[in-house]
Order: sequence, then structure tokens, then C-alpha cells
Amino acid sequence: MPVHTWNRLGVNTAELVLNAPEAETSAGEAGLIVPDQVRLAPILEKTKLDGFGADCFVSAEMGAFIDAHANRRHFIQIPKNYRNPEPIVLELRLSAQNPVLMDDIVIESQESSETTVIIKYSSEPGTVTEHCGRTRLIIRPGAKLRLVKAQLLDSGTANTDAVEGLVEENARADVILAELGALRSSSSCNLLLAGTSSAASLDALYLGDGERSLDMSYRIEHRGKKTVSGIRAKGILLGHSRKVLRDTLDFISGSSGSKGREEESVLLLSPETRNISVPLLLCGEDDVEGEHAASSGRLDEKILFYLMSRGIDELEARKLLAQAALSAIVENIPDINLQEEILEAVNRSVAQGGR
Amino acid sequence: MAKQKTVLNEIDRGRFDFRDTDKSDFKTEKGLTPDIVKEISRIKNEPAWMLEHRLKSLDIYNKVPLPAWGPPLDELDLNNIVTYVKPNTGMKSNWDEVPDYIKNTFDRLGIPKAEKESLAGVGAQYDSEVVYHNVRRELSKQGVIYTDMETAVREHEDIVKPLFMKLVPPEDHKFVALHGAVWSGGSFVYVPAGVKLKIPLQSYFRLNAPGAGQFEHTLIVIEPGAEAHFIEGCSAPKYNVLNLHAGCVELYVRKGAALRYSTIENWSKNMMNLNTKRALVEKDGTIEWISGTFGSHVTMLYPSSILSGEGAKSNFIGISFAGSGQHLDTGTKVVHAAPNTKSTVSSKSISKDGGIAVYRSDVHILPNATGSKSSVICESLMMDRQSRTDTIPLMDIRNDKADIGHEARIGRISDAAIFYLMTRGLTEEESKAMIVRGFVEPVAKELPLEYAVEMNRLISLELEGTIG
Repeated sequence: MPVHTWNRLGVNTAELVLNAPEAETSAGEAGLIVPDQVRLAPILEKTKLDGFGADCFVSAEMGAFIDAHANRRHFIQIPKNYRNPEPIVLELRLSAQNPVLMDDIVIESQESSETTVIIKYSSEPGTVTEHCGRTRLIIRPGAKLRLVKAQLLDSGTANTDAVEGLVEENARADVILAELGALRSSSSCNLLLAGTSSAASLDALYLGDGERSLDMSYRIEHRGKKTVSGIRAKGILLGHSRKVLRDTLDFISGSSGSKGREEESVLLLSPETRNISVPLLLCGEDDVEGEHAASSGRLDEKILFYLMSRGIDELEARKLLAQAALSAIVENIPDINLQEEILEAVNRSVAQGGR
Repeated sequence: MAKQKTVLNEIDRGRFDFRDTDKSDFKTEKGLTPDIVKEISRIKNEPAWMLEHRLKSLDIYNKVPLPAWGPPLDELDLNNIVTYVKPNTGMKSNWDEVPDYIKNTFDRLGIPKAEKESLAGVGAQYDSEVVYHNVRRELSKQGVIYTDMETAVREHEDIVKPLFMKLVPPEDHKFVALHGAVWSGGSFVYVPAGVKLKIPLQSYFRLNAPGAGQFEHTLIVIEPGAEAHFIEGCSAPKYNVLNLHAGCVELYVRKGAALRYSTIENWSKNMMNLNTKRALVEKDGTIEWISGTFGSHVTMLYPSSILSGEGAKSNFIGISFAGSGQHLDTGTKVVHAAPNTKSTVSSKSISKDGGIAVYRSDVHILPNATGSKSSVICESLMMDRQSRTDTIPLMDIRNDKADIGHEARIGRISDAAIFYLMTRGLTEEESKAMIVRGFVEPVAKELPLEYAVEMNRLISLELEGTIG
């Protein structure tokens, strides 16, 4: 966390599991949909991403690890003024033959470009696999980038993932993160609003069930003037799952005229879960507006009763309400198939009682 | 026209920054050793179990490191703090018998007057000892006990010994261990079952000696169905050397009882204020914390409530004002450990001139706290960009049938609100004063009138500027 709290609460640092592979491993095949105009370099050019200053985040320790061990590296450069509603897609899949994926992806959105990048991680059911990835975003002046990262790894996977973004003047980053799989997942997203009038939104949805453990750290740092941010996190916890979410809005001195809002809502569908929320609001500038809200609760029994009185059986009613808890974020994902996959994962989990 | 900023005057400390010449009877050496601890215990003529407790606490203190979070504490050097300063008087129950220079101190602070007009009982501590204690006769007849802590240890051991530093044990953190080793003074309150005190009790703590520490211990037991309001006031004059306050407050609110604990802390800016307060609330009991933190150089203060019985409640209202050279790290903790418990937290802070105000909280819902509810609202007002305000809340929820809500806001006085009030005929200064008074009003209205007036006087406003 950027600012620590009582040690006994166990939230000051994220638990990282970084297992260096014994030998070089292949990342396996990937599904890539990249338009011709977009440059995709198979080997990462050493793009310097100075100025993040976030040595308190997962990515700081991971950086050295990824630099040493990445087995998939992509540099995606979106050219100036490029605008295409069709997303760039990377589908990365682990399997028994390729059980380790360590990806290092850099996306540079050049001036005034607008595009969407979807990165999806999945794995073969029943396999023990490991994913450790880092995605870095450089969004140049006037550019807009929407990044969707969906983690749909099987329950035998350990997942560690970091997103870092530098947003320059008048640029915008919209990041959607979906955490729906893996037995243990530690993820972070750190967006730096460096340029005047830059903006960022971070929508995160998560599903915890069975024995899953989710550790999430999200931060938007306001450095430039008149910057605008929003963090919105929605989650469902079932079974014996455990979740820690640290979300931070940090207004650095000099970020006058900036506004930020963070909100989290969690639906608890089991008495055995553990839900920890740490919404930080840090402020070194008086001419800003910052707010946060966090809530946690259960299914509204009255609404459940209403749906059942309309002929919907209880299980279907629970699925509907669980979907509704995440729908505000799911609807923003510009891929119908991915939306359905996410909602199906929710339905499956609710039907199994979170086991 | 250039926008001019609201200027918020420094808190008026004239009433508190006077000093008495140090006429103490006895002082321990600076620093902390087993011999100093034994000397304190000998002077107090304590039972053996208390000396044993002190020495065990000292041992813990020497082993536990400083906290690795929160405000920096590296300025604090215990080797330079005098842990015990005995004023040259014993405890009196009549103001006329208190030495003049001490009585004048408390006169200037308004304590004797308040006792006559509006209090059921008063305790006054000067440096390390209580110099005055009195409780109205009719309350004594009802079995109410309000005395200094040392007397309670000797004369009410049956109540005190099982409870003393059990709710806040020395293992809790380094400064509680320090307190356990060198505690001195403080108040013991016992309200028997069914007795409802209609007017408050008050203890006032005044630290006069430079480079000294104050380690008062307050223990309050409110038996089933009883009610009480306890007010604690603190101040010290300003010196160029550090003073240390590491007090401890333990509150036991039994079944169906209610206790309001109000504090106005106005320590001087050379004070390190590292206080620990905790309440244990049984079935259907209620604790209300009213907390105003205005002084000190560094404060770490988190009144905590453990809601151990079904239907127990905790309400916390707090305000802190961090000015130049101040780092006030305050907040609260609540543990919901039983079904249908409720907690509310309303916290406000103002920071200016480089002051740092931090709100830090911890709300735990344990697995058996079915049907519990918690609501936390935190608002911070920053007056300039030299200052800082951080909000660091945490919620740990282990029951799916509990409803928890938290919200927080930071910002400055809204230009739109000022403009609106000015369109209604108020001047800009009046508008801003109204907004800031409104900001602190939820705390002020919970205090007895004279303390609310005092709090508003502490925050004096000088406003200038136009909307541009």
C-alpha cells in the first residue's frame, strides 16, 4: 500500500508468489487479432517507462522477475490518429504442454489514436498452471485507450498480474479488469495521470468462490492539473473465498482542479467468506474533490421474493441478482462473447453454491 | 481579480500556554529503568501485584519495536523524558486546600467554576498526580465511586485488580507497555446497576513540567442499566522540549448500560500524544465517543469499541484540527463480535498551514455478528496545498448477513456554496464562517454547552477574499 496501516491487519503488502521456472518455457500458442496498421513487435523493444514512482506496488518487485523470465513479449504500437472500433485481441491460453506463461506487454497509443485492446487469459481445465504478467500502457497526448483484461484461468492456476499506465496530456485510459479464475490471484493496476486534463477509469469485477484467494491493489495517482478519475469495483464472494481489495486515489500537490471517485460494492453469498476492503484517499492538494464509498451486503430478500413470486425459481433468481451485481461493468466490455463467458462463470458458481 | 484564499487563524492557545514555575516535590531521573519503576511504585505504596505488573510492562516495552506505520516518532527519546513528577501537594477534596499556584491554573481553565455549575464530580491532575477529587454527596450515597486511580487500586482492589489493563494489555503496543510501567494518576469511576447520572463527571489533566510525561489511567465501570457521561480535558503549556502523553482509558459498559465519553484534547505543540482508549460493551449496552483533537505535535489516537454482546452499540463522533507543525493521526476501531450490533462513525478533520490530518479506521465484522450494521462517514477539509489529509479505512467482513457502508470526502470550501450564501445577503466572511461552523457542528452539538462554546472559540476564523 502507498501508506501503511496497522501491521496486524496483514494488508500492507500483497502476497506475491514468483516461481522462477527451472528452464526456459514456451508460452504456447496465442490468438492474436491485430489490424495491419497496428505495429506488433514480437520482441519487446526496451521501452522506458520512467516516472511511475510506484515502488510500493506488486509491479515493482515483479518488474525484475518479468524482465528476467518473460516467455512472451509484445510491443503493440497504435499509430497517430488511428481510430478503429474493432478491438485488438490477444487470447493467451495455458495448457498441460505449456503450463507457464510470463507475458510482458507494452501498449503505446500514439497521439490522438483511439482503440480497444482485449487480453484474455484462460487455461485447460484440470491442469496446474502458472501465470505472471505485466502490461504497461503509454498513452500519448490526446489518445484514448480502452484495455480489457479478463482472467478466466482454471482453479489450478496461480495468477500474478500487474498493469501500469502513464496517461499524458488530454489523454484517457479506460481499464476493465475481470478476475474470475485461478486459485490464488494477486493483481494490481497503477495509473498515473501525468498530463493536464488527462483522465482514467478503472472498472474491476471479481468473483471469488471455492477456496479462492484474491488480492487486488488498484491506484490512480493524480499528478497533472484538472485530471479526472474513477475507480469502480464490483464483486461477488461465495464458498470459502477470501478477498483483499486496496483501492487508492492519490492527489499529489499540484494536481489542482482534479476530481476522483472510487466506489466498491461486494455481494456476499456465503457465511464463510472473508471480505477485506481498504479504500484509501490520499491528498496533498486542496483544490481537488475526492470521494470514496464502499459497501458490503447480501442479496435483498425482498427482491428475491419478488422474482420468485413472478414464477422464477430461487436458483434462477439468485443467478439473476448475482449477474445484476456485476452488470454495470460487464456491459462495458466490447465483446459479446466475453460478456457471456463472464456471466456464465457467475451462473456456474452460484449454481454450485460457490463450491 | 485574483482569488484570495480563506485564512483560518491558528487556534487561540492563549488560555492554555501559560506556565507555572516548576515547584514539584519530586521527580524521577530522566529515562526508564527498573529502578525508576520501583521508585514510582514505592512512592505510591502499591500492592505487590501492581509492582509486578509494572515490571512486566517494562520488560515488554524494551522488547517491542516502534510502530512501522503512522507519523514519524523518531523525535521521541525516552531517555530525555521524566516519567514521574510529583507536585508538592497531596490530593484534596476542597479547592481551598489546593496550593494557590495549582488552583490558579485550574481557575484559569474554568474547572472549579464548571464543577459548581454543571458537574457531578471533578478530578484534576497536575503533572503526575491527582491534586483534587470530589464527587457530589448524593452520588456517593447511591454507591457511585469517583476517585483517583491510586486510591482505587488500594481501596477497591476487588473491582480494579481483575480489570486493570486487561482490556488494554501491555502487549498491545509499545506505548501501552510504557504506560503499564509508569502509569500515574487518572480516575476510577464505578456506577452501580440502575444508577443514571444526569450530569457529567469530569477529569482534567494538566501537564506543567517541561520534558515530562503524563501517563494517567482511567478505568470506568458502568454496571447493568446504569448511565453516565464522562468528560476528559487535557492541556499543557508550550515548551521547546518534547513532552509525552501516553495515557490509557478502559471502559466497561455492562448489559443495558450507557456511557458517553467526551474528550477535548488541547495539548501544546511540543506534545507527543500517544493515547490508547478502549471500551468493552455488553448486551444492549451503548458507548458514545465524542472526541475533539486540537493540540499536540503528533497524535496517534484510535478509540476502540468491542461490541461483545448482542445488540451492543457504538457511536463515534470526532473532529481534529491540524495546523502548522502538527501531524494528527486519529480514527477509531470497532469490532462487532455479537449479533445485531451497530456502529456509526462520523469523523471530520481540518488541515491548514502544512498540518497533516489522517483518518485511520478498522471495522471488523466477526463470523457470529449476524445482522450487524456499520456506517462510517469521514469528511476532510483542506485549507491550502501545504497541508495534507489522508483517509485510511479498512473493513474486514466475515459474515454475509451484515450491512456495512463507508464513505469519505475530501476537498475545500465550495465556491458554489459560498456564492449561494452571498446571493442570500451574507458577506463572504460570514458565508465561509457559516460553512466551517456547519462542518464542525455535529461534534459541537454533542458536547455540553460550555465545551461547545469552548470548541468554537478554539477555532476562530478570519476570513477574507472574494469569489473570482
